[in-house]
Amino acid sequence: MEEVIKKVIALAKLKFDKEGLENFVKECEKIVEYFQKIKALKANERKEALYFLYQFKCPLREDKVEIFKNDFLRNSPRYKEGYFRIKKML
Amino acid sequence: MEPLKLKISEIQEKIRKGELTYSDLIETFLKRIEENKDLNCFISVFKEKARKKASLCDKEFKEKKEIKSLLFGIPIAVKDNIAYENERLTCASKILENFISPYSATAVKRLEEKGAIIIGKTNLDEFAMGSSNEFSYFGPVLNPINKEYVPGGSSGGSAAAVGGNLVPVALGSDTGGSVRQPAAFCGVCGLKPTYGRVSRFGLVAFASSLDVIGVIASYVEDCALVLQAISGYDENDATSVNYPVPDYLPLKNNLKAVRVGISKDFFLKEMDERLIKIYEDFFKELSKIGVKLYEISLPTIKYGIYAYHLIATCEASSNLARYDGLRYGLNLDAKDIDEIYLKTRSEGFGKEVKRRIVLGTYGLSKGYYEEYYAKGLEVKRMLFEDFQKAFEEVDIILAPVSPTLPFKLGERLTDPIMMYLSDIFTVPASLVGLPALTLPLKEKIDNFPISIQIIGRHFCEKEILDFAYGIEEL
Amino acid sequence: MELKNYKVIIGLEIHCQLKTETKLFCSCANSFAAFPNTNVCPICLGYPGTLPVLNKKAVFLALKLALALNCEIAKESYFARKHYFYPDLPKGYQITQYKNPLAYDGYLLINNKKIRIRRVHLEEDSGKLIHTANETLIDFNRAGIPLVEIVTEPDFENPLEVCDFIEKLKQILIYLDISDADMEKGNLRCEPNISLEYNGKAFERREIKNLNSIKNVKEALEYEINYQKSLLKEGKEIERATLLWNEKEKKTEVMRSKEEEEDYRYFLEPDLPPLVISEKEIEEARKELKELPEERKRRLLKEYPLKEEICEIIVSDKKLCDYYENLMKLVKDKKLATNWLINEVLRILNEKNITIEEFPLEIEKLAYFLNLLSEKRLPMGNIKKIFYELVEKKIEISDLLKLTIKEKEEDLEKVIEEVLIKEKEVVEKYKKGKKGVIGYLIGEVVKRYNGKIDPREVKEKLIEILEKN
Repeated sequence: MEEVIKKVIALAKLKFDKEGLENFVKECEKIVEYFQKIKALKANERKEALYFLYQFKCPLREDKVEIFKNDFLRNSPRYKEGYFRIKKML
Repeated sequence: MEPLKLKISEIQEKIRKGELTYSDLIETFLKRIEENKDLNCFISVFKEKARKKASLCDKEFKEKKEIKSLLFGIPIAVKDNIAYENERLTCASKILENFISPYSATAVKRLEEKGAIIIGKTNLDEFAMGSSNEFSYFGPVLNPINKEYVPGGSSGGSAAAVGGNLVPVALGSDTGGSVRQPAAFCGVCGLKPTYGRVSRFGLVAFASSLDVIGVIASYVEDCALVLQAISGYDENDATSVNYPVPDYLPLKNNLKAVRVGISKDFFLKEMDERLIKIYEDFFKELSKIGVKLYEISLPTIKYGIYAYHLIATCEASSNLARYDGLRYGLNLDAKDIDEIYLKTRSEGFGKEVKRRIVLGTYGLSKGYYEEYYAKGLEVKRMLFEDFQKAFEEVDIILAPVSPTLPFKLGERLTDPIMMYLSDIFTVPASLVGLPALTLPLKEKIDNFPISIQIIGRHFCEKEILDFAYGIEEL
Repeated sequence: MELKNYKVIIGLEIHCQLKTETKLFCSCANSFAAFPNTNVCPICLGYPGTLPVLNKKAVFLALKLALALNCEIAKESYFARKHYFYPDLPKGYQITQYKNPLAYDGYLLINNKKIRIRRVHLEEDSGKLIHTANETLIDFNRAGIPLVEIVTEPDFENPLEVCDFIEKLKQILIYLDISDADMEKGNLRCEPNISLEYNGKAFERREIKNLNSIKNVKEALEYEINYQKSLLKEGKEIERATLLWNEKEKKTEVMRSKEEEEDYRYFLEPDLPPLVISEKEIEEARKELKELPEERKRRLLKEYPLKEEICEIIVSDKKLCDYYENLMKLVKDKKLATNWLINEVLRILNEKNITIEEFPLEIEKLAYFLNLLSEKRLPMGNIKKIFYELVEKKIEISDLLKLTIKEKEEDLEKVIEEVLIKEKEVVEKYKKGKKGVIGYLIGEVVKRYNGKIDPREVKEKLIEILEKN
């Protein structure tokens, strides 16, 4: 379980220190077991997954240009002279 | 009566009569907010902006001699996970501490079009994840009824602000009960509209298939008023529904006209006994005055909380993937791009948010998806069908709001399971998208009013508002 | 020792930018922008609280393409989120289609061989990274641009088939105005995957990215085939990998190996309800499938005096083909016009390195010139010189008229002489003072021209000649 949780934490781009990781794994184990209670549902009661309640058709937008007029990029810390800038990637 | 406790329509009456100006009104509420800083309801207060707008409202009223809308000049607080143009949108998180939103949520725009004044942004559990408003980067919110207790969450700031009369109405957001439960804990009305009734554009996503913007107010009529302004199709939100919005006002007592359902499945043996007694007494009272009560069955209710957490954590982990500090938000330095991601997200997110992201990422990963997320959606369908069946026999379903009374600050922090269970009665309506309103009854325990939850069919907000109005009048 | 009993198996994954005005999920412009991060908004930058809204035209273009590729159309298709962290991906996930694509089970014929198309679906493009000496710069103008992804079955057996397929697909994309399909500009990206089967055993496949021309595709595949063959000859294992083509050194290099396979955590996009395609919409898209290159070639061969190779040349360039058909409507001698177009016009286009749209001589003037030519009303010795001068705008059509007027004059004199000789008696009457008969003489001359001459001109010349004698 710990290995799985470690991988998942990396996938989510998060990091924990050793103590934090141990606590976290404990809590996750409890919660995951707790959620397994759902397996108690009898097999013949199982239904198909419900994704959309009543939104049956995706609305479509006209292909017309609209310029977003707020000069908002100046509030972005990493934006400078036209580009978003980060340290050189290898 | 001082303006702090008036209904919005009563405030407008005073304005019309010349007994009150909009500037007076704003000053009164700003003063109240200032005096109650310790409640920590607000993350941002727009003092100058609000004053300017109020004086413009006074000017317009003087010239035109008519009030164009009941919301004209009325101060409204907005939960800080709902965007307001050119103001901070923090979601009570370090990762967005200084983030300024370049646009306004559709619901906020619609309120401003009616002339309402956005007085400030309220505190919440970080990214709307929590049931006590103890998980905010800006500190917890206190319950105005008793400051040692939590106001509920995640819209704790909005609920406490209304409960403490710091504002007449506030917008919140409800994903699993985040408007209804804090409204109940603070002794005010909380309305969660049908999923798709109000545009989500500008509401920072937590669980996209469950999130709705809701209304918190002291009076049912004020809830209806705000709901009227913000409802309706929005082309910016593909999940908003293109059904016509009925006139929610004037409210009409429909207690005797509807069939009311009560389900044993909504009452757990673990519940506080005093609560059970209060509800039983309330149902007896309804019966006495001639309300038609029926017993209904909703067998999947007990699985609702599991399904909710499965679905919500998975969607949350996805919706929070965009917070990396590259385009906006927390800007930290690190040796390479991977470190930037890790550092920004680890330092920027609080513990509860990180816990949910990890659980959600686990739930969506290869090999676990079918067991986790997809299973949650199967329960969603079962619950949907349960309610469909129930609504063939009844028009309204009554339920409790929380299995317990409000708890003290810090009491639940060490037991995340208890925290999750507190949503058990509110998540069913969230999962199925039904509209639900919580309303404080006259009964109190330890000074906390006990609230009843009124659930209606999809898009039948009028029915539940009328019913709540009927109870309010009792 | 040559490797025998081996089979090459190639499949192709293609991403193609659609020619829409706006991006797939927001109303930012889908166009060349002079400055970075100018075609952006909170939606395509993944700002908090924003939501995607689907572009109607993008759906229509994808539908057209799917029909042109003979696909089944899903009446209901769904969008999905594909998660990974990368600086050019604003939301931390890409909105794409996963288990329920827009179209599936199609095919394209390459030299009578059926290449099966597994699926065609819509997705959004990512931003662009630019690496400088000390920094990496991100430009999000491209983030959110509509893409259509085409995946074939591994039906290709050699690199040439792959190149032919890409050529043919390009033609379709350009003909139907779906995309500019320019590999060098990056609006058509081809990623082949290739594996070998040897002695009945199938080996791991490897895929090649960053190929920016059909030539590169061919070279990379040929290289990789030889490389994999050599591994098999030595009895070595072939490992699954993602490769980059190194154009300078003409070899493939490993970019990602099997172990680092990503977990994309796909799930259905909750912000977008199902994409529903009606019969009506399919019919409307089908109507726009006006002639694809194959059909057009067949029709042109039937209607016009074209040899097969010439027809290929014309059909391969849609603008040239349109020009050709328009020209044919305006000229009398189609064969002459065809030859002139191929020999002279195309030569000029090549010399000047311009396209038919940039050809300086207007089509009406070219047609006029060709008509004069076919009627032999231009001095044949000088004809190419006259044409070049016309193209260079050194002379004008009116100058051509002057030339022909001169000829016409001499020509007219000849005809008048002939008529006068024939109608000696009438001429006698004229000379004796019966001026009225000139009308009859004019009529006779005009008859010779089938009426295509101005009687006043004739009268003038007649009188001139009659008075001279």
